[in-house]
Amino acid sequence: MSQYLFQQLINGLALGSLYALVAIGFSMIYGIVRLINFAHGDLVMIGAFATLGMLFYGTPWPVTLLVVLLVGALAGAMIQTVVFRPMLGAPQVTGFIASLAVSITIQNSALMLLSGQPRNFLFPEAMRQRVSLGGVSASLTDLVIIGLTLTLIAILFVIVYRTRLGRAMRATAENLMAARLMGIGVNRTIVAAFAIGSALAAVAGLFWGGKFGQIDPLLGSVPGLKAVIACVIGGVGSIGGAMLGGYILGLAEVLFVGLLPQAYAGYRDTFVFSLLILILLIKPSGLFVRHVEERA
Amino acid sequence: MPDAPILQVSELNVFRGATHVLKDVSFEVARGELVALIGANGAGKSTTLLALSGLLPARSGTARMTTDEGTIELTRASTETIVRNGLIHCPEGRQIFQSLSVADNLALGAYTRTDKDWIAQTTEEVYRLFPILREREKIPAGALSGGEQMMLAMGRALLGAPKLLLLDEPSLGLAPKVIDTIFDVIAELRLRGVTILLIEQNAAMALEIADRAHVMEHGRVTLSGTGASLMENDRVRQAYLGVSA
Amino acid sequence: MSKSAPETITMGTSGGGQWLAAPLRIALLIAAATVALWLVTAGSSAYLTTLIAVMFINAALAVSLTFTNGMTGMFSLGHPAFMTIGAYVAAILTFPSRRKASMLPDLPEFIASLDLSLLPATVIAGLAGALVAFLVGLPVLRLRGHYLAVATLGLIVIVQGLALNWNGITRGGAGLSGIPRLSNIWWAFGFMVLTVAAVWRIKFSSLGRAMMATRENDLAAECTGIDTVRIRMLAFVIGAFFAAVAGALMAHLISVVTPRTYSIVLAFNLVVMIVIGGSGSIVGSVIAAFAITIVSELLRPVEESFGLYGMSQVIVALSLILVLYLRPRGLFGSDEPAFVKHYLNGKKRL
Repeated sequence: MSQYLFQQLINGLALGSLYALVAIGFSMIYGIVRLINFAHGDLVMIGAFATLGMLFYGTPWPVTLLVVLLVGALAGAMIQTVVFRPMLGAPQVTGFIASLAVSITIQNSALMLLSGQPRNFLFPEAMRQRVSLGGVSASLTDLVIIGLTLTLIAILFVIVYRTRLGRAMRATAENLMAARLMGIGVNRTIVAAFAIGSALAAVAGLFWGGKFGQIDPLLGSVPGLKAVIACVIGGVGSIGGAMLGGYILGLAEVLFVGLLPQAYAGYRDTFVFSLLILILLIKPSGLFVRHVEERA
Repeated sequence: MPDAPILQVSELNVFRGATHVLKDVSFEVARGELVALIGANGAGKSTTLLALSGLLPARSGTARMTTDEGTIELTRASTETIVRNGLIHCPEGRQIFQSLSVADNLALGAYTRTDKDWIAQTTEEVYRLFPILREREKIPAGALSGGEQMMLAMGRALLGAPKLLLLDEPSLGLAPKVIDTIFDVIAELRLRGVTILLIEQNAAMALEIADRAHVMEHGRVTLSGTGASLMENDRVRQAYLGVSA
Repeated sequence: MSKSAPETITMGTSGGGQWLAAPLRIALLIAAATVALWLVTAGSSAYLTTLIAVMFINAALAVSLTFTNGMTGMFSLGHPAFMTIGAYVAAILTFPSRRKASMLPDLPEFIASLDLSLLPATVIAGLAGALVAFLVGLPVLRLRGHYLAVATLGLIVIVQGLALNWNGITRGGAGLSGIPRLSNIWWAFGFMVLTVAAVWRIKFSSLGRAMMATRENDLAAECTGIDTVRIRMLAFVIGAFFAAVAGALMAHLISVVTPRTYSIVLAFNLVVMIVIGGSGSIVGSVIAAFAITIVSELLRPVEESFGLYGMSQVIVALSLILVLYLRPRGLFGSDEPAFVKHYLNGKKRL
């Protein structure tokens, strides 16, 4: 495989990892409360800035990772409890507007507190080198991102498919009334889903900073919208689908820019959103989903 | 208090939206009894069960459940608490978790139980009662036939260690042979001391096995008596047992 | 509502001689407002005049959004996309032709040679918006609920992307500046009055009733013979027309347009206006638009002096959450306030 292609592949997988983490969390939330949470992307920003804060105090990386997970989980739990829980019975669109409002609030609050200046954010020197893999080289940062993401996703799968909590979350997502009749504390279960999903998004923020080198308070919009697209590609409400969608989206973006002439590079987002609308029209339940979503 | 009725419903009023569905409903269920609720569609039978399990709020009235552990006021407790205290509601249409496996569904039935040994034992029992479920253990519940789903629902209910079991239309849409199996299990449960509140469209079957029964019409309890006596009752025979005047 | 009454704005129960009064009352109202406006602008700074003009345009936008969303129950966030289209189209048309040639090399000859005044440019801009809405709506309006919302958000991004990249026609990220200041507060006022009048007429006509029926229950509406597809498309296209015109007027007011001028944030703010005003209420939208524009502007100096940029936006967002929490139907729900109807009719009931 040519060096260039391999590089693009790794790049795409790393970007895909970021999207997958955000998309999975988004999908968990959608699955359990049927809410398109526009504020989800902003958790990435929160995670990124939390990382920056930790780095400022010289916290070792493993601890930083855990703290970021925690910060994300707390933020997500708070948002759910304060904003979305009271709106549980309201029409679909109300929750969506509310999530838009939360997103704007988070973004602008960050602007107020931190100013719009992009901050630099670098992984340690050791991570920024390239690694040789039998003839081709790849960025260590990318490889670490891919590796850690897959690990986190594996842990998530264990939680969701092999624990009591995971079972409760799946049950609540599928049939709220029946879940209540099992004695499941659905409010707590929903908060747990929000917390876990948000923790993953926050970690994506940590990776985001490392990969792109720069963070700013408004960075959440991009991953937020991309998560929606990834979920639509892979299957709304399905965690595996979200992961798949995230990776496909990451690869598609990188290949789009990498393989097409430079002049079209700017059209990347246009391409991606047109793809979104196309999929929404053809198969809104996602490309890989067997059962069909109920009518919106 | 071993002599106290396990369930005492008094002047219960329930609204669904703006509609007054249950009007001053009162009845009692003694321990170990099988009580049947019969009546036409829309009479309020399912609503009663929904109110008892805390899924629908009550406008006024009380519903007290008394077990060895104490008494709880069902209209003011959360469904979570109610289920933990042994009231298991097997709703209309089974409401099993279609995308989850049979094993997962059963495990969820035991969500509130903490004794792992008991759970394992009871799961074994469920598989013995319904061998087909063991065969289908890993299959998503949605792929099961109607009868198998009902068995799953009952198995799931058993794993909740029910003291008071609410069954809403267990025979709905099922073949006669399956219905027999289900009712055999119901009879077995009675022998073990589980109190059962049963809703059945099939009034004849319900009255046959019921100790006592209530007829509900337009949200009120209009007739009460033993299963046998209601089976003899002319009005009941005409309205619900298909006997012409 | 009496069957015999003609489908004008008055539908008083006594029909007959009463119906002449209403158009007169409306004319009176507009005349009074015009005089008031003239008095206000006579002594005001350019800043205040522009602010009021923006307020009027926002009101028109809110009313057109309430028309598209509130009355049919659709959830379109696409207005900013149509504003962008309208702004660019109008600006390109009104630029003096020699500028066009140098600034926008990829413009087809027949457009580059045009030199239009504001009115035709605005109308064409509106039609352009409507056309795009029609083409986009054909596939997209099949979506429902939040899927439609996401698709229309995508539309904003797509239009922004096109504006950013199609350098030869749009000058890319730099946008178009130096747009002739052809519109002013009177244009804005006229536009607002026009929009309110048009939407009012439609709302209280059979089309309006059909739209409300669609909103309440699609299936039931279909059963009574209402073509919900056509209605949604109509609402979408008409709303887009007004949005495009608004964009055109705005561009000629502040003299500049860039790909990012009309963004998701604007879409959100418009939604806040119609939620607070009452989604489906014309008067509510106007009042809410006035209020939010003024409050945001008042907070600006505060933001600057404390370096708290973004504060007004946070306040708007939090207001929305509060309203959704405490009074989801907003000020007037989908109705018009009694005093307005009373004024128009001299009667208590419409």
